[in-house]
Amino acid sequence: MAETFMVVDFCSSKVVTFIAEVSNELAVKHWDLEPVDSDTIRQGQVYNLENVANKVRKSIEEFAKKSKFEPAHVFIGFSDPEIEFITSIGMAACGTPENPSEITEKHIEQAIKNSHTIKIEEGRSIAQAIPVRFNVDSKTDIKNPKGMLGVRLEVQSALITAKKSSLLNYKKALEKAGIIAESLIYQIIAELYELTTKEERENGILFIDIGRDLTNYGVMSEDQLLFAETVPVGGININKDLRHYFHITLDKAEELKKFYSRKDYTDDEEREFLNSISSPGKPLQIRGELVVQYITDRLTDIFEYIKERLHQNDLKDKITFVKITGGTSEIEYIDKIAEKVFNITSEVYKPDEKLEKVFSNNELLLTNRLSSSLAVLLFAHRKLTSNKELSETKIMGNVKGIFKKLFSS
Amino acid sequence: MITAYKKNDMTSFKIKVVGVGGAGGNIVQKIYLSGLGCETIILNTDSQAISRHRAHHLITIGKTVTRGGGAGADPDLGKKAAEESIHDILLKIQNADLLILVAGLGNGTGSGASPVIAKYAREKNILTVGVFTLPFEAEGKKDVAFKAIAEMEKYLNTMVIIDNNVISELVSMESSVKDAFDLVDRVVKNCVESIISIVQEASDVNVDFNDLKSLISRGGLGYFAKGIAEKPEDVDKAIESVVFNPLLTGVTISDVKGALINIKSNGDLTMNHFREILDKIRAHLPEKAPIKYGLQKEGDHRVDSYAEIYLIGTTGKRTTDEVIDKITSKQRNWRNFEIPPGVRKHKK
Repeated sequence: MAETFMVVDFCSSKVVTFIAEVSNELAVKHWDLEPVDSDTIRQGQVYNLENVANKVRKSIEEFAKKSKFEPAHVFIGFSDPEIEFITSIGMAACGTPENPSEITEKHIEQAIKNSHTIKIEEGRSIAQAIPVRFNVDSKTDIKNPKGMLGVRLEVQSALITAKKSSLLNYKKALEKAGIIAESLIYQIIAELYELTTKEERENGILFIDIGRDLTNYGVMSEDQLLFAETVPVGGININKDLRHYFHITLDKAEELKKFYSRKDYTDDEEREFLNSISSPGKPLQIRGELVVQYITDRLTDIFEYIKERLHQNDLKDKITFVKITGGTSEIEYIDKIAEKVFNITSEVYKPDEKLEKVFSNNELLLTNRLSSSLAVLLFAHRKLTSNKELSETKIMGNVKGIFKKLFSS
Repeated sequence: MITAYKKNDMTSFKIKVVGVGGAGGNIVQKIYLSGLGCETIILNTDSQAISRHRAHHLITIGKTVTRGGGAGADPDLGKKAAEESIHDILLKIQNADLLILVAGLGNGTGSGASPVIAKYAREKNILTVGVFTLPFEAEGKKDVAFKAIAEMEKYLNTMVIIDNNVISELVSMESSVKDAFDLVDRVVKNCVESIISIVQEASDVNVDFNDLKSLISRGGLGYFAKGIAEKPEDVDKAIESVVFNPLLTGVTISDVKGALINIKSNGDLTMNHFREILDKIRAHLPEKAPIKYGLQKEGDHRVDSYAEIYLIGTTGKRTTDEVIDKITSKQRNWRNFEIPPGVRKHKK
C-alpha cells in the first residue's frame, strides 16, 4: 500500500477525518464525519479533549479493521477567532554583487525561516506560514525564484498566529487518540487556494465560509494571499435571532431557518410546515416575510462587518468577485444579499467535478457544509505531491517523519 | 423546565459584602449608602483611605506590615496584611450565609488580600461569590490580576469578572471618566442587588436560599443581570438588558447552565407580560438549563416600576485556564454578535 496521510478537520459541529494515499491522483481510502456538541468544540476550539479523542479514535479504528494504518503525515484543519494574519519579510544572501549565484531551495528555505523571526505576542505561536511572493534584487513579485541568479533573496510570508493553548489542545486531542500531528492548516487558507480558480485568484476574490458558529473569510488578488480572518458569528446566530423574536426553541428556529431559506414555496407548503412545528393546540403565528427579514438582517450584518474589515485593511478595491460557502450558504438568496452589500458579483460555491470524481458523487460529502474539510484535504494532498512547486509544509520543516504510534489505548 | 417555589422564611439569611482595597471599598460604600439589605465591610491597608469610607464595618488590615500606609502595588504585602488581620476579618464574616467579595484586581490590597479571605471563607464553608474588576490595559497589571483569579478560582464558588477595558469601549467617547467608573460600580451593585433581591425579599412565589446555594456552588463564572421596565411598553427593553449583558467578561447568557429569576412589580404586571418575560428569557438559555423564578403576586409597595427583572446564572465548573482564557480572549472590537442586529441598531 502506498504511503498514507491523514487529515483531521475541526469544524464547529463536527470532526471530519480523511485517510488518503500520497499519490498523484487523490485517492481517499477512508472518511468519517463525527458530529460534536458545543461542549466539545465551540467556535473552533477544543473544549473536551476526551470526546474529540474518542471521535478520532473511533474513526481510525474503523479504518484499521480494513487496512494496516500508519499515516506518514497528519494534518489538522482548524479555525479560531483568535487567529491573526500578519505579514513578514525574510531575507537570504545568495552571492555577492560581483558573483551572483543561482538561488537554490536552501536559500528559499533560509529566507522563509528568517521571515518567521518576528516578535509575536506572548502566548501565541505561528500556526502556519505561507510564502506569498519573492523579490530577487530589484526584480519583484516573483512566484518561484528557484534557479534565478541573484545576490539578495527576499520573501514576504503570510503568518497565521494563534494562541498556543488553542493549538496545543488540537494536538493533545489527537495524541489522546494515539496520533501525533504537527502540521496545521488554517481552513480558509486551504479554501482560498483549493476552491477557487486561478483566474479568480488573479482578479481578486473574497471567499467567505459561514459555518455554525464561525465565519472565515480571506482575500486573494494577483494570485497572492492578502488577508484572512475568523469572526465569531455564524448560522447559529440566525437561529438565536429567530429564537429571540419568535420565542421558540433553537431546534424550531433551525427548522424555520431551513424552510425560509428556500426561495420558492407554496402557501400550502408553508401552512403544512408551520403546522408541523407548532405545539398541539398552540399554532405558531409567524409571518414568513418576517423570518426572511431576520435572516437577511443577520447575513447583511455579517457581510457588512467583513466589508468594514476589508476597508480597514485597504482591500476593498482588490476584490472583483465573492464566493460563499459553508452550511449557511444553503440559504438560497445569500448570494443576492452579498451582492447588495459588496456591490460585486457573488456566487455560492459547490463542490466541483474534481471532487465529485474523488468521492464518487457521494452526496453526504459533496456539500458546501463540508467545504473547509474538503479544501484542507486537497491542500494537504497538493503540498505532499507537488515537488515542482514550493512545498510549504516542507519549508516549515515540521511534517516529515513525525507521526506514528497509533491505537495506543 | 421552569419551576416556581413557594415562599420560605428568607429574612434571616445573612449576606455580607466585603470590599477589599480602594476600588472594592468605593463600590461597597455605594452599596452601603443605597441601603441594600446586607451587611457591608470595607478592608484596606491604607488607613487614611479607609477613614473616608462609610460602611457597617471598616477594618484597617496589616497595621504592622504596612503601618497603615497601603500596599502600594505589591500583592505580597496585601497578602501579608490580610494574614496579619485574619482574626479581625473572620470575626466579621464568620456567621455569613453568603459572602460577596468585591475588589479591583491589579494592585496590592485587592489582588493580595482577596485570595486570603477567599481561602479562609472556603475553610469556614461560607458560600462565597467574588465580584472583581480587571485593570485597564494601559495599567499593565493584568498579570497580577490573573494570578489572583487563578488562586481564587480554587476557593470561590462563583466569580463575576468585569473588565474595565470593555466598559471603556461601551461608554461613549464623550462620557466623563467619572461616568465610566460609575458604570463599573453600577454593574457590581446590580450583581449584589440581584442576589439580595432573589434571596432576601419575601415573595409569594419564591426561590429559596438553597436554590441560590445550589446554583452558586456549580462554580465557574457568574452571569448577573437586571432589567427595569418603568412602563408596560418597556418590557422588551428590560428583557434585552437581562439577556444581553455585555458588561460581564467571558460569559453570555447562553453559557449559563442554570438560572434563578426574580420579578418584582408595583402590582400592575399582567399575566401576559409575566409569561412573556419568562418565555423570552427561557428562549435565550441553553435548552436543558433549569430555571427557577420568584414573584410577588400582589405587587411590592417598595417598587415603583412596572417590572424589575433580576437574573443570576452560573456556567458550572471551569478550569482556571478556561476562565482566564475566556477573560483574555482578545478583545478585537468584534461587534456584539450575540445581539440580534435589529436590537443592536435599536440600542445605538
